[in-house]
Amino acid sequence: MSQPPFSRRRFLSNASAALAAAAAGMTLHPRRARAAKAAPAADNVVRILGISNGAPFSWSEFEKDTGLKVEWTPIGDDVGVFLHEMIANDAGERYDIVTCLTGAYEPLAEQDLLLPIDTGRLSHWPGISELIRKATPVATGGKGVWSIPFQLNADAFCYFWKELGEPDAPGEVSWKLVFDDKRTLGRVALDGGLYTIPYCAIYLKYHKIVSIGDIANMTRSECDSVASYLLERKKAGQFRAYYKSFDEQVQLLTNREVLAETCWEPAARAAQAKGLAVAHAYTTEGYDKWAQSLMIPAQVKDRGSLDKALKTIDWIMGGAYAAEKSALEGYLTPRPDLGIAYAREHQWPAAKIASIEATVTKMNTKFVKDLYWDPGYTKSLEYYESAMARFRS
Amino acid sequence: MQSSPFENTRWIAAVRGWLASEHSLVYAFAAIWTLGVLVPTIISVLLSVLGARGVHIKWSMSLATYRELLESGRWLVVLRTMGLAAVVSLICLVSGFPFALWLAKRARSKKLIQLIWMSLTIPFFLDPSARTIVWRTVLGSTGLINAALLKLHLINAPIEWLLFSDFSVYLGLIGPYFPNMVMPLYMAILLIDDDLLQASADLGASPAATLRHIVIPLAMPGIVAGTIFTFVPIMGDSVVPAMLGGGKKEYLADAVMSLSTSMNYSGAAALATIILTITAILLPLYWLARNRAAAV
Repeated sequence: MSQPPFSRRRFLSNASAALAAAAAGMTLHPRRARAAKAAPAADNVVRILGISNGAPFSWSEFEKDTGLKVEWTPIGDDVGVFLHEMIANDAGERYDIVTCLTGAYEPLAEQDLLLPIDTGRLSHWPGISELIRKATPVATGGKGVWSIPFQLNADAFCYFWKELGEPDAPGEVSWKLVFDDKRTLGRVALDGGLYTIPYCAIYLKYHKIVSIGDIANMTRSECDSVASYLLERKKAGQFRAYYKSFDEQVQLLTNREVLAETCWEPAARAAQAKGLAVAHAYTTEGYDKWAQSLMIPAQVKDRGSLDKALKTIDWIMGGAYAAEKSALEGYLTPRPDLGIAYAREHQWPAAKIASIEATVTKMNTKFVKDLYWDPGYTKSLEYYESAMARFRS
Repeated sequence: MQSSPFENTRWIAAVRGWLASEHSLVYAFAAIWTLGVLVPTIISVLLSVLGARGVHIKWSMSLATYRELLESGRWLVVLRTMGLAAVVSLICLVSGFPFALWLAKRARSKKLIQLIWMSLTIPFFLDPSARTIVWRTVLGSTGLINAALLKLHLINAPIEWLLFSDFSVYLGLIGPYFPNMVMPLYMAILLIDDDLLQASADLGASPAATLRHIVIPLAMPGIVAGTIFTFVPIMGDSVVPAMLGGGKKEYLADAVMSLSTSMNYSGAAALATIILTITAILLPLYWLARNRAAAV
């Protein structure tokens, strides 16, 4: 069997890697020291290493429903950082549930760092849609699944629809508006990280400007071709800025620095809340479709925390969580039907219920586009990084 | 087993003796420096030639990482960052020197001097993002400057290059790093004996000649320290280029972070090694120039 690219066992037995960790300012605790720090099984606290915006505003309803408490340690959406936490820093020793983009399960499962989740023990699993089922990686031998998607969306771009004379969402617009449009020349902001490469690849692949196979796993030459196109557009003066954070996305819109920008849906909502005629695009070509997923580290079973981990996952799949996340951020959840039912039962305002219902519409329009499913993890990550560096150099 | 009181006494006496020795502090400093600086630096250099993807290290020496940096154009990032740091340091030096000279030798009001010092320390208390983001509301298309110019009918459309340009990056860096330059300059100039300046004037030297032959040579330690304190942190500044430059150009800190988050640790280490090498070449040259200037 070929050696996986990231191996915890090899890493820990490798003295130079330990030194490397020291160089990065980390300390590799001996196994025993970690065991002492490990999450205790007997208490009623569920420890989660999760995406920053994954936690609900309050866990009080969860506590009432389950009798458990949650300690949520936020982590960014960077898969590299997450894998480092899991593989090198043994996060499984300290957390009962971890979350990351769907594809992150792959290197972890290869090294037995994940526990397959028995969907038979999740009361909300049977009602999930076909879309969620397809986005869920089945564990080896069909014994459960490696992860459960709990927040999904189809990222695209925001645009001032009125000012540009384009249709408001859900009318379709093309990615051309971002990459090659005289009306937006010098008034476009792009993601300063790696996402600009696949975003642009969606446009180029759909219109056959560049021949690209799998956007989620592009070759070096495909990444280079995308970078070359971006460089050409950069020279033409198409782009005004490259942002790093959510706050910047919002500020670029609210300060009217740009007319269009690749962005997350919550950024569009923040701009709309300030009265701006900004839409999060329904595109002609496709989207960056992603799912944040819940995973259970392998160590959870040994310390007897499996029951509370499953109970927590089941609650997150339920109505209260779905209603809050969909209404607030527009994210699709595994059971939007439960979210709608919850909102109606609690007599939420009609507008809020409509925004939860809109996620179902989104599932049936945005998610059915072929392009493209973003696993968040690819073994050719370095090609994307290198192409982006060339574009920004 | 419990040790005897006699053994304890001997052990304590030995430690006391070692602490009292004149070399103990030197040894302690050397140990801390080795552990804190030298070892990580050596590991960084090793990582850059061994090659690493994620937490997996390849056990063969290769310069492939450096080749990748060249091919991806990352070497430009090093040059660009050094250029930026050099220009901003020079601007801070040219504007900071007369200011420090006035503050050390001409300012008379103690209250004013205290007020100036307080103002100079403000940047150290502010979060870099917080102090930088303010510039966006000043320089942006709908910012204060553009709004004022439009209102006065001096321009017809907002000046776009005020923000997300080289101009805004330079402007944003001068403010926070100006105190780094002024403080050592002030200390060095303050130590210059006023009698020397008076003697120079008495002997008929013009103010320019006194500045050139007395003040600048004697202030050289402050100039060197100020330049280093300004140049080095600018090399690692990631906030200003990202927030005011709009991330249009990649600078060193951003590049290292980008390589690290994509788990290309050997790339990040190679970039750090290149900087280390350039600094190792430049620093002795700088000291040599300083000594020659002081000898004139």
